[in-house]
Amino acid sequence: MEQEEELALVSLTLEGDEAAFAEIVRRYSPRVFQVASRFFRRRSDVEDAAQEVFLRAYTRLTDYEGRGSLEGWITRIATTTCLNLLRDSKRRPEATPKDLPEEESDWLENQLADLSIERHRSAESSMVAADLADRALATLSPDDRLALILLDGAGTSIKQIAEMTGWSESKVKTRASRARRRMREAVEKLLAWRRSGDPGNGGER
Amino acid sequence: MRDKHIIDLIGERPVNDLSAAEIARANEHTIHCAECRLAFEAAIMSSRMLRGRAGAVIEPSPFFQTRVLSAIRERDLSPHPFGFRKIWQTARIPVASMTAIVVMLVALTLAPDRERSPSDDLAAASSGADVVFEDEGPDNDNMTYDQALINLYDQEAEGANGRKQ
Repeated sequence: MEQEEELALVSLTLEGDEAAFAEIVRRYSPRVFQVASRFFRRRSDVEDAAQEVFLRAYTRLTDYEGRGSLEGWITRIATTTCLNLLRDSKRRPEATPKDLPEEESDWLENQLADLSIERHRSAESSMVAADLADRALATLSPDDRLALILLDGAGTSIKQIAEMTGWSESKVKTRASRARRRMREAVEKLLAWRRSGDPGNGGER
Repeated sequence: MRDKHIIDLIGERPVNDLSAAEIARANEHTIHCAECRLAFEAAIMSSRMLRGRAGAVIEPSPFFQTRVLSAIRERDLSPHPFGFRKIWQTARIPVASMTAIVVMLVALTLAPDRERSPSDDLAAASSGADVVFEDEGPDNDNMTYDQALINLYDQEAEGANGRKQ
C-alpha cells in the first residue's frame, strides 16, 4: 500500500506536480537529515547536504523503478551525496590537546573517572562528546570516517552499510577496522595528555 | 590467557559488541599490560564519543520543503525524461550494431592493400571514374603549362622584334 503511494507520488512528480515532490521531501527529510547529521555537524552544512540530496533525487527520479522502498532509494542517494561532499571538503589538521576547550577537557576527565562497561553501554548524547568525536575523526579519510560512524556510532550493520554505499562487506570491515585503530590512537593521545596534566606537552612524552 | 594482548580483539569489532567473557578477559589482561590498558580505555572513550555523536541529529526546519522547491525553480531543474539506465536499456542493441559496423569499416580501411592483378587493372581502366581521372592527370597539366610558357616567350620575342624595326 505504501509502495503504491510512493509510486503514485513519483508518477505525479514526473508529470510536473510540484506538490507531489513537496510531499516526498516532507516524508523523507527527517531520514535524509539523520544521514547528513552523521557526516556534518553544523546545521548549515547539514541543510545544504540535504538540499543537494533532494535535488539529485528529483533529477534522477526516472531511475526509481519501485523495486525497493523510496526511502531506501533516497537513503542511498543521501549516503553517496554526503560522502562526495565530504571528499570534496578539505581534511582538518589533527587537533592537539592544548586546542581543547575547557568543556571538552572536563568531559574527558569525567569519562576517565568512570570507565565501567555499564556506563559505556548507556547511550551518550552529549554535544561535547560529539565535538570530541569530530576532532578525532577529522584526520580520517571520508570513507573510513563513514564506516566508523555508521558501524560503531549508529549501530548500522555491515550488510546495511554495504547496501548504502555499494561497497563489499569485506571492504566495510577493513575500513572500519582501520578507522577504529586510528580513532583509538587519536583518543589515546588525548588521554595520555589528560593524565600528564600538561597542556603544552600534547601527550608526547 | 591473561598474557595475550587484546589489541586485535578491540580492533576487529566495536567495544559495544564484546561479550561479557571478552570484557572480563580484557579487564584481566589490562591490569598487567599498560599498553593494552590505554588502548582499551581509548576504545571505550571512542565508542562513547561516536555514540554521543550519533545521538546529535539535526532536525529539518519547517521551511526546508520551501527551500528545496525554490532551489528546483531557481536552477530550472526537471526530472531527466530518460534516466541513463533506461536510455541504455533501449539503445544498447542499435549502439552495439553501429559499433560493430564502424569497427568492421575501420578494419577494412586499415587492412594492407593486396597486390593488384592485371585483371584488376583492366577492371579499373574500364571504370568511368578512372578514365576521367586519367584525362585530368598531372602530365596533361604540365603540357599545357609548357605550351603557355612557349607562347609567352614567342609573343615577347615578336614584340621585341617589332620595337627594333
